Amino acid sequence: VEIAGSDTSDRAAAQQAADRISLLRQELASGELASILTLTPEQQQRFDEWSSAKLAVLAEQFDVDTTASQKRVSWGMRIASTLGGVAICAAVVLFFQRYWGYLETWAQVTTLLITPLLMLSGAEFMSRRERTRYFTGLLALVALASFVMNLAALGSIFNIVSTERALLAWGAFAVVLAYRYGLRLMLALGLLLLISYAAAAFTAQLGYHWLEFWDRPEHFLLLGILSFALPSYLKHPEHSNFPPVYRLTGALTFFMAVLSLAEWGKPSYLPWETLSIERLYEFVGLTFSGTAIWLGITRNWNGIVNTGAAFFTLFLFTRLYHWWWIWMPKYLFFAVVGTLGIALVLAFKQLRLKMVGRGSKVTE
Amino acid sequence: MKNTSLAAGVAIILIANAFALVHAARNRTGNPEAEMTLTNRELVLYSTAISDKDEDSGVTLNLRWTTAEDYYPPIPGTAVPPLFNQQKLSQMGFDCSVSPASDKAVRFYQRQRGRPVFIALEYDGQAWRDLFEAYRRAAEQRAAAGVKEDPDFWRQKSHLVVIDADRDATALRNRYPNRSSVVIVPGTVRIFLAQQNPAQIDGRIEQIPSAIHVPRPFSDGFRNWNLEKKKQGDAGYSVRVRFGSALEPWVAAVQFGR
Repeated sequence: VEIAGSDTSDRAAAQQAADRISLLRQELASGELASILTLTPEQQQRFDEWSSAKLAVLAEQFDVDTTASQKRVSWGMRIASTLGGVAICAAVVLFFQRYWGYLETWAQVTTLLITPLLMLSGAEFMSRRERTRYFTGLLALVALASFVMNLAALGSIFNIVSTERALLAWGAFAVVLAYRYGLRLMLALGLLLLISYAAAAFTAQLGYHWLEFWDRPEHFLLLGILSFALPSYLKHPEHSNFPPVYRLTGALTFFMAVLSLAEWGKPSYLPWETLSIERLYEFVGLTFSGTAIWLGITRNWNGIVNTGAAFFTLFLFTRLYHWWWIWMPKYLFFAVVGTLGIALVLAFKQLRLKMVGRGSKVTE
Repeated sequence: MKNTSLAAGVAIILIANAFALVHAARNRTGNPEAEMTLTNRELVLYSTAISDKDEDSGVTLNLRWTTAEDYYPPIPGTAVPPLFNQQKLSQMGFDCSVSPASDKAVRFYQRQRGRPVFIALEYDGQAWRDLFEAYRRAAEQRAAAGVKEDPDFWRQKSHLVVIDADRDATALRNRYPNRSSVVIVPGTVRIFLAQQNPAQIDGRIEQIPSAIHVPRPFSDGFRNWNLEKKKQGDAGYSVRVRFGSALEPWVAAVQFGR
């Protein structure tokens, strides 16, 4: 059987292709499918040869997981590399902090400049030697942490008054690393940094101190929507798993801002009574989280369905808490909440049933 | 094209560092905007910062400043005028259009955020003497009423007193041209409604960047000084501090002992 090289340049797309082939092999091997789809021995042999060779090519080109055990190990490696990366970030920062006081200023500056460059070189070196990106991701995370330490420590050494522009530099660096090495965690960090920068720059533009950017959650509503909508305009032929990161980061930013305003409406721009603002945002939260579930189902965006469901439940329960907690006996309150929980599970079950049979690709 | 993103990553690191270093160099080029010698009352060293077991080997001094409002019980009859009245706060960009007596005033002023301004700090000048005199009179009254005073309370107080604030650093400098006794620093001011009878609009300083890094060889001196202090008691120190064109400080000299 002649097997051409894979038609995709994207590891995520290659993994999806490998998953589909593995699933088809399993189903064909099951007695039930064999009873309705009978392959001649020759066809069976050709399919086995083709699928084995195709999986081998995908594994060769992209180091994808071709078995369930491999996938489980990969998840473990992913978690270990992320935790390891975080621990090494802490080690690098604490090591510098422990000894920087004994260095001359020129040596401090040189060390601070060289560290992120070295870590970036390490990430680049590893990316050329591995396709799974575990060590690359780990080193890229350390490179970002080193760059954060770099600018923060330079600010301390020269007593520079802090500005929001550092957020722009860190965010841009994280996004560049994400696109270079196909790292989703790095993309999420970069987007959060850029969202923070945009809110801080807008706050400074209004004549306020930039660090007050947390104070107006409405900035984050718009920026969350922007991040959510971006993949509709920004196509990702080489990173097919990036659009869900934009959408999830946007949705989480948006819903966290709405939740904060629903609980504490004082910081809102709206010139109304605090209670009216909180009620409005509770309504917005329930409506938009419901819309997110619907949108997620129609577009097959699993991550958005889950995020919408989580926030819908959160908004509903906080509303119930405000309504009933004071006057209702506690046992009754929890009984009502429990009943509503069961009702929600039934509702989600119905939604899940509607999703069964949809043939289109499900994304995160 | 293959390595464009790698080059972009390297460029971001280099450009960000270049910006910071050029900014620092420009701040320190030319005549200092202000220069003064402060003591351990105004520049406080945290003892943990120079312990051998401490995780942070850097030595940092913290600028400590004072205003008449810092004292409790309040100092009566102080000659220092209130820092922030309605007119001053309006000049700083705060919206003071709602009367303090209005029902909407509390929420209106609570919703306003801190604004970046420039703050004038006078060292060991008339403002300090006025504060000290007012405190002395109040202390005498309290002593007559049988209230015991902490004798070290006043001795440890910073002589750096906030005397004015403005959105424009140049205008502030023109009002206080003495560069060896008045320093101008960036800071943040927040408006609030003082809940007294009658209610009135007031402002408070929320933040002045106060950490001053001590480079080598001065930091070594602080480590030795800390060891000596443990053996012989607090001998004090004085630090020559310069503030550059960006109003950012640096340590120019350190002398240990009173």
